[in-house]
Amino acid sequence: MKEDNNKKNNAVLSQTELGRMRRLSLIKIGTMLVFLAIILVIGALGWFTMSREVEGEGMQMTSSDLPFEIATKGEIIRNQDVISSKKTEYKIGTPSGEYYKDDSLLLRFDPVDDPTTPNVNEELNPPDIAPGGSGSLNLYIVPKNNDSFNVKITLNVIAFAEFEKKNGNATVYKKDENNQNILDAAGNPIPDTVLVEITNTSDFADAATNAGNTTVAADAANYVKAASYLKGHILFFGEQNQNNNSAYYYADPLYYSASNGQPVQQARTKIITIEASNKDQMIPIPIYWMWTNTLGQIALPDNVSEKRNGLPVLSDSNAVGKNALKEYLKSNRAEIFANNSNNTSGYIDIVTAHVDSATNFDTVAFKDLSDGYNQADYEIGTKISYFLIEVSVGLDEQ
Amino acid sequence: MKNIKQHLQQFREMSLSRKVQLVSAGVLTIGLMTAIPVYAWFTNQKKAAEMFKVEYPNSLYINAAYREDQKYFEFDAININDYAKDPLTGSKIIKSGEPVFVEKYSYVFSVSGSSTNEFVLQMAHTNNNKFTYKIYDAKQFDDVDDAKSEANNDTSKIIKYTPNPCGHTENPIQVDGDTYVDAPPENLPPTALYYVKGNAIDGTYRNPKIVTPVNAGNDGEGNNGEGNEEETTVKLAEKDTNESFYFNTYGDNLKVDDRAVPLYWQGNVSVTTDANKNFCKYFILEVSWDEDEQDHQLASKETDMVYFSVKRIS
Repeated sequence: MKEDNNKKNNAVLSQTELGRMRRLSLIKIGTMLVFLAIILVIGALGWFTMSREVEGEGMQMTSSDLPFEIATKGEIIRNQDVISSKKTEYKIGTPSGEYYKDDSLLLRFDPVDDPTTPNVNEELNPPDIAPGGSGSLNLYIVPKNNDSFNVKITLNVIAFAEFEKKNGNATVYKKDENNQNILDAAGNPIPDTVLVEITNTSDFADAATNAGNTTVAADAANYVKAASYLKGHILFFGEQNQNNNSAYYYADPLYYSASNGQPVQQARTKIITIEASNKDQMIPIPIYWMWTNTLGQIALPDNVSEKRNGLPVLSDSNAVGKNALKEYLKSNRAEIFANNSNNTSGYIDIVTAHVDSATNFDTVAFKDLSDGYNQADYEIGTKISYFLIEVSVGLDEQ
Repeated sequence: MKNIKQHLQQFREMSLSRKVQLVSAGVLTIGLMTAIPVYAWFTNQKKAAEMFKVEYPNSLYINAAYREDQKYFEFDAININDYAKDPLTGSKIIKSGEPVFVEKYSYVFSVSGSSTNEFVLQMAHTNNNKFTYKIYDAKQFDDVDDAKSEANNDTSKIIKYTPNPCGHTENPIQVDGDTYVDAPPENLPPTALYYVKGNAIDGTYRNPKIVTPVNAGNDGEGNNGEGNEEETTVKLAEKDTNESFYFNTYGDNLKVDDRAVPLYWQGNVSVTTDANKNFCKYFILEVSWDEDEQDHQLASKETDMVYFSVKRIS
């Protein structure tokens, strides 16, 4: 009897409790669903803004927290087919007068018609980039308000390698829709190739293995080294010598702070002040790059020895800048000099001693360093097919 | 520790549905906490990019005169009993009423390429003949009068070369002011080109050693043949400290003909490139001999090999 009563009480209790419990459950579930929805939406927004695979128009995400937009100007997007297929996050952008704006923007340039000098912006048959090649980036900042603020520019170089697809030891050739070999002008079949971004050894080796090219896969570490040499050899500057390249090429290397002359913590960065009252103005951001041809152009204090072989990248009287580049050479020697078998244990000492001493440089040591520099250039030329210069613009933390 | 144990105990005592709710609420909270900063990080920068193509490193080309194919660089048989001829007219040179023997043979070759400021030029040759090899700078002219004025009317400095049609299957380099024409039948190369000898190229032999030589009657073991035992000093390849020949080349073999061991010459050459970063430099190889040393009656036939190689320095 008692048990029956208990059961009945429990049942009665449960009924009123049940209602409340149901409501509580509903509230809990509802809250959790709302949180889940918020997280999904935020995740989706985050995914869109860094997407690599978005097709079609996608969603143009404009972030409202940065007080500026970036823009570019020019007729032509260089290597547009390649960059659009390999780095889909970069967009042509929305036109605004002569300019194009986007948060992930494909930079442009205006072609020049100057067949007498080797210019990367040549209209007909622009040259491919070799040691000594240089150019500038057509980047603009458009403030959204009239405040003054500081932006931090960060530059990065990403390398791509192109190699043949293989089936066992046989080359895979490009085929048409009837599975026949496509022939070039001389009547030879064209090898089918893949273009792969060089990130790290294991990912690159995997990509090569997937294409059947075991030779490249086995050599993946050297491709990664070549990519780092390219990043080390391309120097960035904020100012160009307007004097028709006489005596030196650039000023303001992006390796030291203009305000205090000290090497910056992070190479390839620059802080730029955007002045007040510039709302909707197209402010050009000058960025110049050069794949410096010889070590002497960076490291030698003058051309007394006649070993420089070309104009220096900085004026010989730019002591602060030249010092910053010396520090850059010393702290990035693994990315600048290829392993030189003549200099193993003494190598660090040679680099340090040579680039430190302005007047007393040892010819043999300099030649060894220069050989290492040129060997790195050769590695770049034989392994890297394309490179991407990426510039990120954010607010300066300070 | 006790608190944790108590909490764990409480957790285990909860009903399944409550456990699920607690865990999912916790997970969602953490998810929310990380998602917001991550989103902020993603949208905190704007980026722009430009893509460039890298040029494959260019090799340097060694070719005949006029950048023609290497097969046109001909080392004909050198006959020291030949009479010297004027390079422009082809007639014998007369001195003191007598024709004179030829004193040297000259050959033109070219080094061309792109994106280069300096390169190393190496020459290696064997020494079976008692010849001296020297390399000179050369300038190309297609007009004989320009060549003569460059040579100050010294015709011994001029070498005439006849270009060959369709002679350019190896070298694609064209240089401002030195383009080759090679498309018969409409565009024929010039009928003649003239090369004027300039300064000697700065370089040294890397392995000289003056040793008393063996002459033509030698059997390779230091025994001189009977008769002609002229002893003159000639530069021969250097033996190592044990007076044996280069181990890497010859191993333990000591019965190597001294004169087959090559001499290595090397020099640095600087060039200026044109607007398209191309260059072409001409050289004259002069093979000469000491007239007094040569025996015109008993000239033995020997063969020598000469190698050239170039490597870009910068």
